[in-house]
Amino acid sequence: MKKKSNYNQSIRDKVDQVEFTYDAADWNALSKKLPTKGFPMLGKVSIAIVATALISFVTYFSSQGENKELIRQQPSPEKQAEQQSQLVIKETNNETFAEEITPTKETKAQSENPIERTNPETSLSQIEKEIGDKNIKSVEIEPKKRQSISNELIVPKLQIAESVVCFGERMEIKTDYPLSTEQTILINGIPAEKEVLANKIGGNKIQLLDNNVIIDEQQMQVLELPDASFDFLKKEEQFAQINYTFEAKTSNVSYKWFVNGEPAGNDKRITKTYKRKGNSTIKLEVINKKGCKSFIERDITIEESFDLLSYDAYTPNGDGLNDEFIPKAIAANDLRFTMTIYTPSGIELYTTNDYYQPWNGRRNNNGEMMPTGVYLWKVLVYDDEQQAHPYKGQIKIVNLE
Amino acid sequence: MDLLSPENVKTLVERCAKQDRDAQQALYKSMYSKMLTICYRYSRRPEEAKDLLQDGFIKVFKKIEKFNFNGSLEGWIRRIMVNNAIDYYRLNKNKFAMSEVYLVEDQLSELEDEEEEIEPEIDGKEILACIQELSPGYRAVFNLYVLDNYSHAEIAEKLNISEGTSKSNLAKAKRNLRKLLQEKIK
Repeated sequence: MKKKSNYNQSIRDKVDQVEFTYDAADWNALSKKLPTKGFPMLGKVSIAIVATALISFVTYFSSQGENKELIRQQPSPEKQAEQQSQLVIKETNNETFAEEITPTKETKAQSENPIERTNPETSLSQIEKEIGDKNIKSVEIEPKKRQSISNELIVPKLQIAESVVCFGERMEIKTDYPLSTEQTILINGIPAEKEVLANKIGGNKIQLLDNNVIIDEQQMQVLELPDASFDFLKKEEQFAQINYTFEAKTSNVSYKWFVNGEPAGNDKRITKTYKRKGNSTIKLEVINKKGCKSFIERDITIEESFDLLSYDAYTPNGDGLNDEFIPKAIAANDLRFTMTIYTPSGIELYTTNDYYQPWNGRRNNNGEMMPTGVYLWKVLVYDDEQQAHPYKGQIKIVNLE
Repeated sequence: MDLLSPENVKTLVERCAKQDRDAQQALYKSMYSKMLTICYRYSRRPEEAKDLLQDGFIKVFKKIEKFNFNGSLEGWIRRIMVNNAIDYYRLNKNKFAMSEVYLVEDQLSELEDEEEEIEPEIDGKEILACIQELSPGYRAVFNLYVLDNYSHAEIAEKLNISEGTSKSNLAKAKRNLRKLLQEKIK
């Protein structure tokens, strides 16, 4: 047994204790979607009705001598799959029902297979009575059951819409006639629904079995999806910004890049420049020459601390050289920011959010000149989501007279 | 009367296969809470859980004639529910954000929480709510591994991901779940 921890066990125990109160409305909703619409009483005898009605059906059409043609007009397998119903009951008049059910009596002795399905204890009169009680007048049987009776008449064939599909796509497997319960579809030897997702690359063997005898076989090719993975190729730090290069691992496909949902190029590699911390979603969509498409989306977080490129010391003496202080990267990357200057004891000296108004060494930029010494600066850089990223450092006023 | 006792279960299955509504409803009712719990775990919202439950039971009643009495009926229904939920996840994977499924496998290991215990005051419903808040890829792996007892190899096959991704997603799912649960306590 797999080793699972205490933690897993305690989660499991707690979840197992959860109780949901039964909601009858859920059952009502479900029961409407189940076969044999809304006549629970009929359930017990439905098999019998189906079987008897079937016989009448077969007899009726055999007598017409053109059974095959008529059965062909039945709903398509697809439609039938949706119906799922064993029995469709229509309101017409009493006479019709009587007519349809009458041939049953005659055929009952001759036909063997279907009779086995009938409940021997349920006599026809009982059925008639029950149906009469429910005021149901005509019974039309679902194609699926007809099919099982008319096995010897019709051998269903596989109908495969597309013999080549991409991995992960739906493999639509249909048959020209509805399947009976004895007939199954195997994909690579495993029983399958009519619609499955392609999950085996290469040739896939689709077989149609009737009582474990192969009656039809076809191949479906499942193509590999192109690999949409990509690498963070390199990271270049330039002047207060970082370049990420993303490169697809696969060649010879067409590429579509998206950064945060915006198209960002159609080459094998793209470069994206980041100027500040933040998150970014990179999506690569690739389509190969056979038309198979896949994509990968990755969230990346830019966590590098960007150097604001501040300097350590300046000389606000009005000589035109190094007279003002502001970290250079703010201007270079057009960042939205707030810069505050403090004395070493924490008294605020100046605040600005305009690059063109750097600190000139005076209190509030218009008061008295501050003495030489160390001052503290704090910069908040705002990203696109108005998130503030703090930076701080020291700046020394040196007086070079 | 115990509906699911060995002597009753055969009749029940047969009646259900014959579309006997009373039998179907009885089975549905007896499984309702357990199966809805499973569907809750694999979905994002309560309504989605109910949809999964309905779909699952349609499959159950469609296939019940094939139930071969190997193992318990509950286990069989449970498997159908889980597979149904996984099918749903796979079909909708493209609609969900896929990022976490393909994130580069990092160094997270699940060893870190082997010894951890879950807070006693947290109840199952709160855990369910937190599981629903996990992102779809994490949630699927977490459910399959922790609650439905699948191995990483089986999960990898079911979800068409690598075993490494399965492990790493599990670790991340646990980490996120822990955070969500901690918020609940506060």
